[in-house]
Amino acid sequence: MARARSVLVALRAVPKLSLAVIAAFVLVGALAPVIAPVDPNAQDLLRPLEGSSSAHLLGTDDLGRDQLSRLMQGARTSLTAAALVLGGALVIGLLIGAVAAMRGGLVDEALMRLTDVGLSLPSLITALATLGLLGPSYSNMILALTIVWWPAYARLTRALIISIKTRPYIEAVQLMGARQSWIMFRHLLPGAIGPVLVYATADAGFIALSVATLSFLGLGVQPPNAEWGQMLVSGLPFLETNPGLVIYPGLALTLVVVGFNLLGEAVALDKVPRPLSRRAVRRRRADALDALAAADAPRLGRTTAGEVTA
Amino acid sequence: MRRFIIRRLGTSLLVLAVSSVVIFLLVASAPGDPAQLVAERQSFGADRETVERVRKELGLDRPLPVQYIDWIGDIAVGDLGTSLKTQTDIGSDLAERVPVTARLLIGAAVFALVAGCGLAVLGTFWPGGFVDRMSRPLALLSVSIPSFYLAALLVLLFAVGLRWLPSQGDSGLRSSLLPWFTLGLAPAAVMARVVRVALAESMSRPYVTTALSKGRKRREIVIRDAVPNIAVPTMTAFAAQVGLMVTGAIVVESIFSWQGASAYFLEAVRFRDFPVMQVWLLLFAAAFIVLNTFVDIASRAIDPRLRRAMAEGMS
Repeated sequence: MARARSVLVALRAVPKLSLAVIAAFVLVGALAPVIAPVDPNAQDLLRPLEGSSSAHLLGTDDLGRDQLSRLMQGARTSLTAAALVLGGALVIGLLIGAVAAMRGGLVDEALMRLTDVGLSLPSLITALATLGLLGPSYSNMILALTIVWWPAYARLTRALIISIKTRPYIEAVQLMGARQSWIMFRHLLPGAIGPVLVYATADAGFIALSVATLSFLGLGVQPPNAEWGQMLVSGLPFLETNPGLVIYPGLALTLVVVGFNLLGEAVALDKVPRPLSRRAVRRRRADALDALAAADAPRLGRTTAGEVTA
Repeated sequence: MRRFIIRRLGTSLLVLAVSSVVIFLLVASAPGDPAQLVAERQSFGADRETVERVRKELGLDRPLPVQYIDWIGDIAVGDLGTSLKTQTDIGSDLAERVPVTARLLIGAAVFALVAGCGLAVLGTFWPGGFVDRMSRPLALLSVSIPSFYLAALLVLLFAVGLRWLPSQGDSGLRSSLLPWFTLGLAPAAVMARVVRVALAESMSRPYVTTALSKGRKRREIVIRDAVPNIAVPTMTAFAAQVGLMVTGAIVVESIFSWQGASAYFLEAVRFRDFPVMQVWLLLFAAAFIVLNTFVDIASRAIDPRLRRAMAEGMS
């Protein structure tokens, strides 16, 4: 009995815990230049591949760089890249979705067929092909991943706006003679943005994962900049002697992805910790679910952890 | 049914044709001049004359529609072109590499299907039991962990630590186990969830209640009635996972040093080897389209309800 209750308590703590994990990584990333013990790119070729010591808590890599400082810098790189991609995808997706929903007709049809193409292709293939065409670099990686991620947001936004458009209060505003752009920016987009952000929470982890994967393949963040996927691949040759060079970056990455996925699931199911949990969130979630059902949910393509574990 | 098949094949061919044009145009419009690239590789600091000569040799001075027809015509008769990077025949490169990827994919797919469906069926035998409760956390973890990290941890445990399996390479069954598991784990967990949910839905149907009230065993009902009923959604979900596995193979082949077709694409991307990228993307699109077409036709062959719905829709 007592055990059952403790399990329940632990389960209820999951969203808070995931929020804490993400907040911790964001904080470390934001403060990396200040709190990192050493310059993450400072080489000390006389002390390569050292174990843990008071000077280097997690040891050094093959170029004698401080592993802990690089991990902190990595949090900064990964989260910044993920935020850029998510921001870009959100802006493009919201705009295209809004235009498709407002214009309707041929414009809508053309834009939605475009998102069909984007959603039907596996994301890694699209990203790799884009990088192959443009050449690998950090900014091209951000661009490639934005290209991969915007269609899902365009579809979701379109579905949400179409459902909001038919509500009585919008008709009332129309009858009062408001301009289309006013209705769009004052009423429709603000109504759609909540559920879109809910969906974005679950996506953030997968975006961070893609950034790391591309960097792991040598097509994203380039050395010497510290990034987890890139640190992991440069640590692989020393797996036998210095497994820490592989274990820590991978662990950090996995924690962030699990954190975002748990949080995304919690937000979607409205189990959000206090500060975020208001009735508004519940309403947004209902809107998001309605819209997803209307948006022909399977076409959203990507398997999110939310769907997997629902 | 025959009419449906013919129409479905027609649409697929059309989609393939459109994809081939799009792939060709995308690669042709990429920034950077392939003629320049090749000329630079032949001799450093190639002058304009050399570049123009190379351009002529590669046929890049002709109008795009002519180039497209030429390209697709060559592919149709089995000439896939030459790699810019290695100057080798792409067709014979792929003939060497596709079997490697096929071995990886088939192993991983079998693992994903058997493990996924197995877990789901066990979960349905004992709802709320240990297996059932573990399937959610397992799914969450396996879609969250980067495959290259999973691979590294497996190598650390089984190759470095226990010395049971080789850490990389492609020589026989023992060296295949870790790649298969790495690639198959996430699809297995996703399949376990999808099949479990479908089975639960199937088990809530009235015919199951009837069967239970007649005294048939729960396990027998699961295997004989519920499982056949979910064949179609299972197949559709599995096809989507196979598509994802092809992209997962890029990472897995890279980390285990397998010389497969996915690694070939990665090399082409790294060196901006445009002819290889074009052919690879085209073949990938074709495989994708064939897979989806097959699933669509097979669903109707398996499930009489879909056929009936279709017949009603037509009349």
